[in-house]
Amino acid sequence: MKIHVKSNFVVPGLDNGEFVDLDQPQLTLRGFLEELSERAPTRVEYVRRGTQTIDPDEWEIRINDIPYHQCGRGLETSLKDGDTVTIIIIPLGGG
Amino acid sequence: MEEYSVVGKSVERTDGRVKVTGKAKYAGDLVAAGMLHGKLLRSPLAHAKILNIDTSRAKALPGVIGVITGKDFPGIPYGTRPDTRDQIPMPITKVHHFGEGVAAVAAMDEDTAEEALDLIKVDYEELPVVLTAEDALKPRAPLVNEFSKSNLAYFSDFNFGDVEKGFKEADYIREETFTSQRVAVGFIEPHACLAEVDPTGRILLQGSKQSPYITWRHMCRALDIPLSGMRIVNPFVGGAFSGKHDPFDVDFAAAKLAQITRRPVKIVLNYDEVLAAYRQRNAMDARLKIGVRKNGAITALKAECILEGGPICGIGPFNVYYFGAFLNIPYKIPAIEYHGKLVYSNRAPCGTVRGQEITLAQFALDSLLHMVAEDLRIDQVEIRKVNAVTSQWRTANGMMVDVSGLPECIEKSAEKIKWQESRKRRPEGRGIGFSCASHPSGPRLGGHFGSSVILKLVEDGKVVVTHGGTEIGQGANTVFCQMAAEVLGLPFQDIIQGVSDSDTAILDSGMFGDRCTYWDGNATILAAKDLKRQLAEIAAEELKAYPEELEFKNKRIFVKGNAEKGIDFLLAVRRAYYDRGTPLYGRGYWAATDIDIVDWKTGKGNLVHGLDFIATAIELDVDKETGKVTLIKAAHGDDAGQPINPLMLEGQVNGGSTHLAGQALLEESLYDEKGRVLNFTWQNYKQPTSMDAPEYVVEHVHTHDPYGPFGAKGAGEASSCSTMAAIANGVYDAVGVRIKDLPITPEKILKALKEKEAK
Repeated sequence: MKIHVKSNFVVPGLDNGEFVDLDQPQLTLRGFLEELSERAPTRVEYVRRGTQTIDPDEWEIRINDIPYHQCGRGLETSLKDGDTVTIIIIPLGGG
Repeated sequence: MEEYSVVGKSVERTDGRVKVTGKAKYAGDLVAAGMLHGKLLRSPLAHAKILNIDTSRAKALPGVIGVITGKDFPGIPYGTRPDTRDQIPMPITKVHHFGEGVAAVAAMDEDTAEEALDLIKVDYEELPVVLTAEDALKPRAPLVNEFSKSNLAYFSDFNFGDVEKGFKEADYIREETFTSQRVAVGFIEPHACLAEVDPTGRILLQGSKQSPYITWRHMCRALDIPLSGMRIVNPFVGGAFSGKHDPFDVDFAAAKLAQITRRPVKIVLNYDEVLAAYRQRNAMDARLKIGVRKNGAITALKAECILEGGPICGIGPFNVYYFGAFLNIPYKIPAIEYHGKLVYSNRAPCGTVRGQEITLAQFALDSLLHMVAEDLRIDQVEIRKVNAVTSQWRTANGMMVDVSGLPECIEKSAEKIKWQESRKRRPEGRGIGFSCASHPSGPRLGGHFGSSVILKLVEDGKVVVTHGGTEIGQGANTVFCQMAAEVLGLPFQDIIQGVSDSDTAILDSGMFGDRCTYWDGNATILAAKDLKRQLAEIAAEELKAYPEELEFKNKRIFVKGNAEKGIDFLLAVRRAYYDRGTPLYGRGYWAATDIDIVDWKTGKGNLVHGLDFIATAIELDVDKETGKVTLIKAAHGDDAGQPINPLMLEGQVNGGSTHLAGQALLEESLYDEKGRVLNFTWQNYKQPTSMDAPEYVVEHVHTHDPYGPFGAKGAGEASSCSTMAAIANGVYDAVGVRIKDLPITPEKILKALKEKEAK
């Protein structure tokens, strides 16, 4: 299964920068984000500990351009081959 | 040009008198009933496993009320970006740099706390250290940060325009390497805070913080408490220069000790602790390749930069980004290829320093431009005029330069330094160096970006300004008061600066990147207009007029063109409070939502409004016998749009220049082979004083930024970006040696002179 990734930053662990090839035939958004976390050299926490949601203060996530929380089952939404997951990072400031 | 009553005038700073008379209360001056004094035990090693920390003897010491280590915190990592969370409040498994705090004590007095530190026994297992970028990137190098599987902490690869084509079109190509050193930040007040916990468990932190919002967010995460579980109030802050954004072990330890002891805890660092173990500027290794036409016009640039940033990412990713994205200014460069890296090391953690890493990029770029002009026999002023960014210029990465006064700034600086005259005759060892720079007025780095201001109109007609930005000595409070006074038609003295308090001031991402005057300034104007609208409705009823017909001036509200038909400002205020029971609050918020959010992957986009510009010319002497550089005169042509307070603006320009003259000539944080800092007192860490400052001339090039408050742009960081190259170029002009490795010490100059003579 191939999942395309759009982002405004270099997603850690996404070596080719554009998609993830997965062996699993089925995967939820949560599973996909956990897979990305595992691949990252510094563990990236997309889903906040002990919660069922992605922290909107830190990440904006869409599946095929639809905000994930509007995608029926939210984090548990199943991804299909060819789906595009958009990950927008929201950093704090400084400088 | 519009005539203003308060804006554009050099009014007295709101905080000037209390500061110079010693009445201002900084964090270290604060006292609370039952307050304890905290101290931190620091690691003597730069890299070591923590095998065990025995605090039992310290806890048993009479007068000691609490002792903590890293294990007392939840162990939740925090960081500026959610993809680079690699810090915890205090170390648990290993220490990462010399002087890292490993335990903290709260006691009845400072002496007891200090004594208790000696009773804490830490068992370490020493690890090999990583000191340089080269060490960090070696195969099988020891890993520095336990949250990362690599010493490459962050990287960026940007491509703007067609670089290959640009180099093909070049008549001349030159490539050079540049390096820069670790420097301390340089604020006067060391880190300090007072933490209290109320009976409900809510934490109050009063600290010397630059951007309370950032501190607040990080601390709540790392302490695992909700945002509402903490309040931050800023006392006076004695400078910050980008070194006080994050919470440090000082803040975490005070908060945790206050939680444990249920008593207020104050921690005030000594300055040697600050110099040894807190935020510094990254060391840089850079390689730049430039292509130019015969007339000096740049056709392409390739830049590689590695920043060594200590054991954490911090805002390092922003530094990598700034270096690359802002190579697009202040010169017109049609094509740029950039590769930037941030690496971990076992030196003190980096944040940044005034001007961010644009300072380093500009040191390299403008030094290289000088060399190219020499090679092609083009005048140094001419080559900068040929390449200077002009108004309505779209950069290769997509930034729109709305207004640029840079060409005029170059002319003014050359005229004031007497460039042409100097080419005919000058004393032996005397030289003049040029550099230009530009700095954005706060880019939109992400989602936590906005500014908000609340104005409370008190019954006596005075207005209290509360904002989420921070006064750190730069004069933000004064300019906001000036702007509010201008809009409301009140004397400056009738506007009072309120306290920066997270309970009353709403979101503001902080004081950095020249953003406060611009973003908070716009919010101030909107808040004043909101207040004005409320008062106009009241006055209109009284005057039998329409609100939109009314003008506010000289503490009066009157019908435009008919000053007789009006009421006193104070009467309108009293009508609101006493007749209607209406509280008068003006609310303003502003964010540059019409520009692009930073694209970290590509570096492209219209990232900023309000690019401020500067051209710096520095005249200096080099003593060929001793290698000593003496700065004689610095002439800055400065475009900060409409100066809100010309005197303070001048202070910012000169301050930025003096600050970075320190990095250019004097400062360097030195480490031994084990990663121990060698010079962490004022005796051996040299910063410039007034004795090192040259005569300054600041020529304001008065432009009008279409989005800025009253046409103003940010200020204070551009001069820090132009100064180092101007000095390096001046040294070359004086004695013909090029130092590309900062700082430009007498030893390096003498060595280069010797090598030159030997050729």
